[in-house]
Amino acid sequence: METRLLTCLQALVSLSLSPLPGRPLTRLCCPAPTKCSFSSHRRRIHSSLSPLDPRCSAVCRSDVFAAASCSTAASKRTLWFGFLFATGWGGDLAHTACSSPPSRLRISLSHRRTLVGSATVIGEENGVIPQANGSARVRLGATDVIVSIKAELGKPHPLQPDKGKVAIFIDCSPTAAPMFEGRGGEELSTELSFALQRCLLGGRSGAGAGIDLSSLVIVEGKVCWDLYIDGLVVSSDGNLLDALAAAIKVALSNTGIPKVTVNLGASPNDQPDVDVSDEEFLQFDTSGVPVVVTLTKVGRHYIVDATSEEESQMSSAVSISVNQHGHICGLTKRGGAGLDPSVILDMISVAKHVGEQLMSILDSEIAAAEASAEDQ
Amino acid sequence: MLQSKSFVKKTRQGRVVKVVREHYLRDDIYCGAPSCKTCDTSAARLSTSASTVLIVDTNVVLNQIVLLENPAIDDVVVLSVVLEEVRNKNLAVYNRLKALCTNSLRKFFVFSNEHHKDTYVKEMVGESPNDRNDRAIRVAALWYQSHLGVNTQILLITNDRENKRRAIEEGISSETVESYVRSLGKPDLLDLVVPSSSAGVSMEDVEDLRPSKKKVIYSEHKPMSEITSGLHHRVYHQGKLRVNRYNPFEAYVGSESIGDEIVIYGRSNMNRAFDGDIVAVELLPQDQWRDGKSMIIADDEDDEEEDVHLVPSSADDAPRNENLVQPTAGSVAPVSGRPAGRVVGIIKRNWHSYCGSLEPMPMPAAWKSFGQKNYFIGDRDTENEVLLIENDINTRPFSSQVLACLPPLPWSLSSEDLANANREDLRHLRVFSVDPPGCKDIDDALHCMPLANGNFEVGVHIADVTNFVLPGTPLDEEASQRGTSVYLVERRIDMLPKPLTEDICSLRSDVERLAFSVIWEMTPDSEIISTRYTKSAIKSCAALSYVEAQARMDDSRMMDPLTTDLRNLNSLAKIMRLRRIERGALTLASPEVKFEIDTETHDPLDIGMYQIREANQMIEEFMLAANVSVAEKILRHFPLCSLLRRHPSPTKEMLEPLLQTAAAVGLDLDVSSSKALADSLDRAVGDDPYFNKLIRILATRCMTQAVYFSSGDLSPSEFSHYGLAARLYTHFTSPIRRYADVIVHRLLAAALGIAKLPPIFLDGPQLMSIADNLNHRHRNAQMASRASVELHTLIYFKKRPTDTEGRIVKIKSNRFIVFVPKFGIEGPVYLVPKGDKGADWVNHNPTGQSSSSLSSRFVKQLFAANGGISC
Amino acid sequence: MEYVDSLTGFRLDGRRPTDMRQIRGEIGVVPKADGSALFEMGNTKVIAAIYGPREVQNKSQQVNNQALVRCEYSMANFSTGDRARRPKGDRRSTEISLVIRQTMEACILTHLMPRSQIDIFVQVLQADGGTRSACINAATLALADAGIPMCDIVTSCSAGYLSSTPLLDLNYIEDSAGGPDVTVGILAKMDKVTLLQMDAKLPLDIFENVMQLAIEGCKAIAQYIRGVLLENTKQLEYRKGV
Repeated sequence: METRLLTCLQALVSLSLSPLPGRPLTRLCCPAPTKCSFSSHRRRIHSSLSPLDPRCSAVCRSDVFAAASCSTAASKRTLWFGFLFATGWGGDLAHTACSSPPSRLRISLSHRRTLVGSATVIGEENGVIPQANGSARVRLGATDVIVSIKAELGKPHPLQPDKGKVAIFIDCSPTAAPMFEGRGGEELSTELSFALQRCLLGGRSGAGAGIDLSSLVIVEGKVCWDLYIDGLVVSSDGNLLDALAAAIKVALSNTGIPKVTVNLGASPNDQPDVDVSDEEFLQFDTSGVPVVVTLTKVGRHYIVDATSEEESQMSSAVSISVNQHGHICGLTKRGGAGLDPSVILDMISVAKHVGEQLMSILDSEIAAAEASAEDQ
Repeated sequence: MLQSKSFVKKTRQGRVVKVVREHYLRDDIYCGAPSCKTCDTSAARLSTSASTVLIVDTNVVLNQIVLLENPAIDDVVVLSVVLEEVRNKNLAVYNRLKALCTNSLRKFFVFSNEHHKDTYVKEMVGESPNDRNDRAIRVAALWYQSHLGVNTQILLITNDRENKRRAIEEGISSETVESYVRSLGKPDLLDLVVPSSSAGVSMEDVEDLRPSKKKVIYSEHKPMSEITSGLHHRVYHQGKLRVNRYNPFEAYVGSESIGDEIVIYGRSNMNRAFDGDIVAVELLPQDQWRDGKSMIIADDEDDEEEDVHLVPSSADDAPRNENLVQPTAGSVAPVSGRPAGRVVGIIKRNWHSYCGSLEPMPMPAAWKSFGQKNYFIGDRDTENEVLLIENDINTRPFSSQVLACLPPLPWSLSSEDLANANREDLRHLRVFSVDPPGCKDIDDALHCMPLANGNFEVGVHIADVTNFVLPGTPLDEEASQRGTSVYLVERRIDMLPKPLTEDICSLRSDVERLAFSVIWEMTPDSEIISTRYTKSAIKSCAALSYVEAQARMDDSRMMDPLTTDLRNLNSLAKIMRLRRIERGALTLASPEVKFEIDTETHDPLDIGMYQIREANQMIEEFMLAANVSVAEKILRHFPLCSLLRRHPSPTKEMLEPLLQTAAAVGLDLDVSSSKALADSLDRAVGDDPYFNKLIRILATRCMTQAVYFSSGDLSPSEFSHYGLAARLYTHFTSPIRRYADVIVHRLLAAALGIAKLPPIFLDGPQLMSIADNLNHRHRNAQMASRASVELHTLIYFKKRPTDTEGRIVKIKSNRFIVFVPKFGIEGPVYLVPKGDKGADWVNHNPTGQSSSSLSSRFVKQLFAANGGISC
Repeated sequence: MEYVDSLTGFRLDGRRPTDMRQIRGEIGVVPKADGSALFEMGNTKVIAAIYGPREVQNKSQQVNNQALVRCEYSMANFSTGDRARRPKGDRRSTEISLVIRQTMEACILTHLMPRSQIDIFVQVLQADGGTRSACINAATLALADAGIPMCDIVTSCSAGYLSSTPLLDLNYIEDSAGGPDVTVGILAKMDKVTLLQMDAKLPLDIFENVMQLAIEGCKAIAQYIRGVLLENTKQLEYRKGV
């Protein structure tokens, strides 16, 4: 099994050995589901890569970034996919010395930028949380987050009668790290919640939100859906923001909101009466929901998908949300060290590219998950 | 073992909540055929030689339950989907079906198709629940067909043409009920088949017939969503519809939103709402509001009679605020103050069995029900049946399983019973019973023994029914369902089978019987010094009637020990009674009528008020005392699950009609407490000997009924019994005819450590549902008894126009209500032809006091006119 | 409401009175933790993660002759049907944390790890009755995954009494019926009861039956957990190439 995996990997890598002039950004993803699981089990991967210590050496020989396998564990209707992406201009290996956990296929590249990501999205039959209207679980290496979406009937904000409301709450479970015990996770939870709100929900007026808030309105000024987005960090190994944003996007795409019929009250001041249908569901258009790409600056480099070890060494990080058109929807800079404005611009353009890749992968995976759900 | 499959079920109540439930599908559900080779046959119920197995659909069960109950129909598979649908649609039929499925003599098998991995069907997109269920039935039938192989024919019985067509397409043999019964070749069975309108006629055909006849009779009920929003906007008003008991086309809806009662006139405004339904009402424009006093039937083509009725016995029976507009002296202005409205929708039906009449063109009015017999209006048997059906009283004979629980007859006291350490041998005591004449189910007996210290030992001995009715047996289930025996004028419908009620449990004289005894030591002042409870064996020395007992006490020559006991008891009882009245117990009056019935024709021969004697009061007093003592004992041991009986204090609002009437005759009643009320009732003596009684009857009408409850459901402050002025009360003394007493017996036995508490008592919700059922049954039984008395009153007067004295109790613009004390009946007397708007004669006759000679003529006229009874 | 159909003998969800819901255990769901496991009982789903044995964080709590065991129980916002944002450390969570800690402490060989600390974190992802039991089962698996020495495995299961029938492994609807709910935890091999909780009241003889049923349930879970552990060990072995 392991050998097969490796060959598979190497084959993939060699496939991608195309010349990459300038700043090529190519997604290499094995599109066809194969039976061999790659990213499903940390330990398995660990052993598969361990002979080639350091881990990165598997693909170190190239200045390319590689993609890994994708498999459908047919028995469970669980969909796994992994992808890798990176940008690089050729050049030295930046991270060979970094002893990152093996779960991330980490291919280091280029003199200044190194981008690697691997994500695992699991979509189960009824979502991960059947009681919710939509849910998703996303694993990014050892980072594991669950997002659930619940829709409740509410009243629109008086100042924005034509818009529904969306609230994002993130919780860090102590299972992810002992430091989250008790109230220990609160600070991070709040920071993540606000960063996500900024990246996904647009300005205070709701303009520029990834979710079309006006689609949540049932009767203008009277009834709307309140979407509650609850995130839970089950396991944390860095890059939580990207993982949560991706999970929110996937969860929104499998969110079904019951269809409602409204009986307008006789007098205009009264609350209309709402009948909720049992069978029909409205789906969201999630194509406009942005993804978040966080670039973490470690030393001279900035990297995507930093592990917690890497994050511990970062000087600053910039989280950029990118929508399907490649537009920047929101931005958060963390960390104390200042950045040269030109670097920021550079980072943004990298994030844009990475974001587009990530987006298209997520989209195709969502489509595949939906297709297989319908097959069942 | 578990076939793993869980699915998502979503239900939404009010708020949008997604509910997820697991639904396990299994492979260990057996087919129930003993001949099956693959299934475990230990639980098989179908017959071994069954060549045809029937599968019935829901409508067949709902419509043809009488046919299914016939032993000729057997080897039936009842699918759980059918069972569930029947349960949701008609609980009475469900219970009958359940009885069939548990009857070991019948070959009905319940197959859980919803949990079988091969027969579970998932709802398809766009499929209605009904279609899904039909498909589920077909899938199950198909499964049976392939499962049981070629030797057994599976026959799907359905009257739904579409379902049948599909079944045949899918290769399942299917027949309609009629064609199947025909094929059996038993013509008598055909009579049991209820011809269904859709049998062999598809819905389109029926639809075709309609347009010609289509005429809007009632405006359509508004959809629920519109009603809720209307209620929200205060366009509609919600309330319980109460039909005027004197006029079926006038109803009241008490509405909190407008703080008054809305009157609904006429059939089309009532819009198919029945008494007790929760309805949504729209107010009519104010100009259509009628004069508050002209409550007459004007706009209805039916010249319905107002009925002659017994006096309602509690506030639950009577329309609430009716008396509010009673004219008082000096009120002249004919205000049209009462809002009128019409029903726009029914929020909750008060489901109930009703009887109606069908009038086929060529025949006189005939009853048709169940497709069994023809019934004629006015016929005593018919009317009897009607009152039983309308009060949901189970008159079916006891099933064989129930009868199997009875001890073998003849029963006699065995040595084991005596050897039981928990049972005291009290056969040496001079125990006797006092009951109404002809009473066969004697459930209480007494003894009284002077003690050396001058005190008395008084014992109340109650038939030990729980010795024979064991918890969880079919007998117990049946009794708990029936709840109470029902006493009609000429008939008794027993809660327990006859051998128990009239023989084994009945404390007849000169036979040894088992009893549950409460024994007090009392001072001559009736102070209870100690109380003892024990199971016992007794031998009654005399079963007296009230008259006999009274005669013995009154006859000063009789000095035998039994008479002495009676006198002792009587003197104790008098003190107890006095003390009780001192505490504020109300002596309320509800006129009880007694009939003498012809033994041959069962027609009433004579009618009269029930006479209450001292002996009655004596027995009553000791029964009350026993009940109170037992209530204290069981509550002490089981504070959370005792079955008690409470009588809530009437609210100010409920007493309003009483106060108004009293004020109208210049009487001032103090209702601040039960004691105050009792005293002022005592003081309310007019010139008329009946006056006090009338006031008491009115007071009774204002009270709610006493109810059973489980002590865990209420706080101790709510336990009290207003009418008896008792802190605690329960029913212990009539276990033969009331199931509540059976429960209390079990509680008491458990409290004494004799028996263990049946687990049902720990199941709070279930205990509550039992108490609710008992209240419901109790009430129904009372209604049935009243209806029976009413019926016999009418039958009696039908042949005998009578001159008698009456009292006017209420005056309306065109009629007054007359109460006839002698017979305890009440009815309206019209002064002008109905339909005419009444002249304002009320004002000339302001106080509504009695004017005897006038009324008697009308009463006579009334009874003469009231030949038939309309229900 | 009829919780056991009197005609077919099935419960609302199609189980027999003595059937357990479907259970599933998975080891190693939180990669960063020293040991972790997911445990599902029907729709109830919990994750347990173990951190330790490690240095005692708060020195004042250090015990010199044995390990310090701590536990925190938390419920996700979305774990129940109606979304409720609950404060951390409410009374119920604190109580369950305590129950889990005491139960697990009883089987961990704490004296082998003096002056160290073991953290047990349980996170409820979905609650559908029996969370207490599911947490204990998940914690057992996670402790085993972390390689923490234990004298035995602890398993837990609940049983109740409704419609005059003892029922194994109550789900939420049955649990909210208001009947008694007996939660039992046993040391599987030693056959000893370490946890016993009951609310409401029951006659002694019925209690005996209900408890016996719960113990049977615990044993069945123990069997399953052993299977999961064995399978996990085989996997490890295989990966090491033994």
